[in-house]
Amino acid sequence: MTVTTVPFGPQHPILPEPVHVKLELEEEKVVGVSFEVGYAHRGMEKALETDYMKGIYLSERICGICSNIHTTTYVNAIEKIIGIEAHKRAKYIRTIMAELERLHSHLLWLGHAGEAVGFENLFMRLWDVREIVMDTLEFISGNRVQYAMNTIGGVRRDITPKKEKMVEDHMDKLEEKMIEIKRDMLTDYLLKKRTAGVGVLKKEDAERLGTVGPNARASGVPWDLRMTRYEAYEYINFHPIVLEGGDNLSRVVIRVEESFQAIDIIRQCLNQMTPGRTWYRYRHEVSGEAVARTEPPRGELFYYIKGNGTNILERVKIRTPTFMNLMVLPTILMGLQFADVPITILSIDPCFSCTDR
Amino acid sequence: MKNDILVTDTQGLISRLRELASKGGRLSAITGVDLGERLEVIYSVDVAYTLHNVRIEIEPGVEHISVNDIFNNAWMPENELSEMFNVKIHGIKGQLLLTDEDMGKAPLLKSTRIEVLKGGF
Repeated sequence: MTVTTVPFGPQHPILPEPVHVKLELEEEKVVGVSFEVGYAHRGMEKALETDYMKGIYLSERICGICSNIHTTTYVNAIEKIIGIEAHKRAKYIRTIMAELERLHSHLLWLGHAGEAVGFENLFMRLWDVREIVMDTLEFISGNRVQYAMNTIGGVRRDITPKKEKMVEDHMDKLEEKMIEIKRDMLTDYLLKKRTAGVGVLKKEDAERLGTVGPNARASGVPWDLRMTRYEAYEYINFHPIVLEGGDNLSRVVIRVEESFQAIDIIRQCLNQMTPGRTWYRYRHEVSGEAVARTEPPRGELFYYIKGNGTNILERVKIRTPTFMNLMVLPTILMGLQFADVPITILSIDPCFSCTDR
Repeated sequence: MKNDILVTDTQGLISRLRELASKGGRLSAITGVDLGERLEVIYSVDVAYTLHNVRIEIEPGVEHISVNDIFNNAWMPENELSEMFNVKIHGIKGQLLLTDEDMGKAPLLKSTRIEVLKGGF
């Protein structure tokens, strides 16, 4: 049978960011997959060989979705090297920010997934409720995308009692709307038909390929770095949500469930927070090396930082979640019908600004 | 760093990585660090949420081994290491993020000045 090569991307209506996937098709069936990245490479690791305070701002600009967790991981690594720990209240605020970021990332992706399967109404409703999260982030930090919250030793802005009340109210409102959306979404014929049993990633493949985040957990791998209890996760009662299906539908459902879990974690933080300091001034040379790892919306984020005894960093290595998750593409795309390719590529929630750095 | 494992040759590297893989280890990252005359490569492997860092120093110009048969997710990190530091890795093409015209410039080596890279920063 004739094999036809079809280029998918780097620009494609379904892709928010650029990647090139080379598909080999026999009629409509995918029989070969390879991909190319690098379209958004900006040399961030080289650029981060600079003053470690400037690194906070630079690392925040690696990704437009999970910008906050990049700085959290960066400052965690610097704090480990210089041997300081953030104040307890600052840890709670960092955790609230991380979970708000997870919420807006998951809602953004769920909207995209709705659009990819032709469920436009779902896309509009999800992006509408996502505005509640964006408003919350803006109210806390003054910004919708890059929040500039983290600094070495704590956070730059406190969540005042008035803001705490507002976050609580917003979470109530969000939860109410999400319950309705979840009901409509998970009982929808179209969504099920387009995603159930499609793009299956088996547990053994997820483990073998080092898959991280919701993609791994949707395939039955109970791996969530928040269980290492960094920041205020030490005080929070939660367990990773794990599903067994491994298909596109499981990757949708897990992000819905994790959105509810994020709301619960934010509430726990607000209930447990006590008044206190949120940061202290710190200025010192950085000598030594450390690794910090966190769990952003897409999975494990890894920072290795080495200082040389001055304020200039010697080396910063960043390994982002999509860098690992991309390697499952050939496995989940092989044997699919061409029409299922867009939603399946999208189902791993790829971020190429992060991957390419 | 905590849980550092220093190895001096590729044989030692392979046996330590195999040992970690047999305990259910998952390759988290491969980090290259330019030490001047040599390149340090750190293999960070997660075993039940504990990170083990297997470190080896390699000579420039000498072909390094690939660990893709131990950890199937090593090929992207190895491609990145290869192109960013101009290291030859057995069976690895060494092309991932850079454009064709920037290939071979090894941007993460200390000797590479950022001005030589296309567009600068």
